[in-house]
Amino acid sequence: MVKLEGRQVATVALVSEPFIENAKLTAESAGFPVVQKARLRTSALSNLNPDEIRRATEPALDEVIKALTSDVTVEAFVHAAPAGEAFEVFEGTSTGSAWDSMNEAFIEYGWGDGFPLVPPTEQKVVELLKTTRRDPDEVIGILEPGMGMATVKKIAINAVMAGCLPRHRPLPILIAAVKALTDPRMLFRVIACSTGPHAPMMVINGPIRKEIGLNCEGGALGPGAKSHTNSVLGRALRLIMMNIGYAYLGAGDMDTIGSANKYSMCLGENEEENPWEPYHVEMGYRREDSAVTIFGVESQLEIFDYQSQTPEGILQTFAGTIPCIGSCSTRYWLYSERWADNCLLMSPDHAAVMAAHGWTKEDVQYYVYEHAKLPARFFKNTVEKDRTRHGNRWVFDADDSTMIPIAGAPDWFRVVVVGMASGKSSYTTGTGKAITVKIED
Amino acid sequence: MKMNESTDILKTLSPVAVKAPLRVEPAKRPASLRDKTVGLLWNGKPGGEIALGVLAEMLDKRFPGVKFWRSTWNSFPFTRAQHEDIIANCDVAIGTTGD
Repeated sequence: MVKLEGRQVATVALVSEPFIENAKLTAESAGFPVVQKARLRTSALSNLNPDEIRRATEPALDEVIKALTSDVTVEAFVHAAPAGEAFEVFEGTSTGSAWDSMNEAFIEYGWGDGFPLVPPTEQKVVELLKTTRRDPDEVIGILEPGMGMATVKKIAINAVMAGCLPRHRPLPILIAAVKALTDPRMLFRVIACSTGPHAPMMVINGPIRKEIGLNCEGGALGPGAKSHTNSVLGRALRLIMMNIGYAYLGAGDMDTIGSANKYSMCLGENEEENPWEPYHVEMGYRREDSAVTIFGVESQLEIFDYQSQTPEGILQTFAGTIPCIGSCSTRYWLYSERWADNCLLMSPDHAAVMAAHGWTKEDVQYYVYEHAKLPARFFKNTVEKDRTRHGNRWVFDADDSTMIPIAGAPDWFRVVVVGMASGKSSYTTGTGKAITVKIED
Repeated sequence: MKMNESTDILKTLSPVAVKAPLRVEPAKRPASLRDKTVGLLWNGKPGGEIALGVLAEMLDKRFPGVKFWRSTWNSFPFTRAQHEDIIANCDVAIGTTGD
């Protein structure tokens, strides 16, 4: 709508109460210094009946008319906390109390994720900047929704706050991750701003995994000493989304319930126990390259099967676990301009069974695509018909018991081998395309 | 760094990025919606099309000759072609945002 204003089409946005701050942030970040909105007197329009929507909308008429026919009043969005090159100084009777003051302030500003932060002193930031050949002021990309400029230095500052040390080599990894986030196929605005619990999951491949002590085995996505590197890298990416992309809760990030995945999600592929080619090689890189892939994750499910001894047996368990109509990923293939790369986080023993029977990754993808389906009645109840591509509306005319795919194609199910042999794989529902970027100094 | 026996100083950098220097000037507004074409832009979220319909109904009663244009597609973000479609057909536009 801001683009329309620039092309001399006056606009007004209908905004329900919870999205007022989000509307201000979005408009201001896109370079539009005013907020032309009409407030709908309701929490949200979802799940309301037509009469309720009418009652919420009618009072907005005068605001709509005024926004479209009156001179525009400037109402600039002002971020409460300092940006750019500002320094903050904290005092205390001890180092510990100065650090406490810093954390209290950073939390008040909204700069943190709720856990204690490492002070981003100039010394610590310079230590990280020494690990890259890039200029600190180089702009890697512009991050939505706030359109913040992701400079190498700002990435380093957030990496320090997350607990990254030079031995974690955060800068090359996070720079590659930020590049992935700015690929339009990622649907990053959805991941950052959605009312859903979307989070970026970093999957790292290549020699860098061993260099930095990345956990690719048991507990790779969880807490613990073995996953220290995983934890701080994933955490840094969340802080980058907040402090560079302005995805602050309530304004840029409209998540309704939240998810622990949003704190940190980073793993290394267990290439050593992967019977197939590593994920990044599948994406066109060399085995000796290091790369990071960002998956937009909505939620994570366990797939527990330590009994089946055939590919069909195991994948039947997969196919029975993953269809869930409540997941956006299940319906994305019905819409225009929507993709969902879901991730089969396959345990080494499940992968070994596949390979022992001569199954390739493509075989796995095809089986899951053909067998992970839901009856049409679920789609009819939940999916917005008017939002569906015309060519897909046959779903609404199908018999209620017709089994419908939950993905647009077999390759919407990506395979990554991770974890330890235990009969337990995992599945993440996706948002957007998974994007792979080479890690370079 | 100690200033004196009883004070410790911690000096930190800001993690917050400077925003890209984007700027869009507001469009000139018509004095009235009479005889204008109003675009009704639905973002595809449930209920949004009903809200737009309610407003269209009320605007129709208030402004003689007002016309309404609805897209044949319901996706967001809009593509470039969709933007051009709106610009070619509408004088002003009302859009639903969020949920």
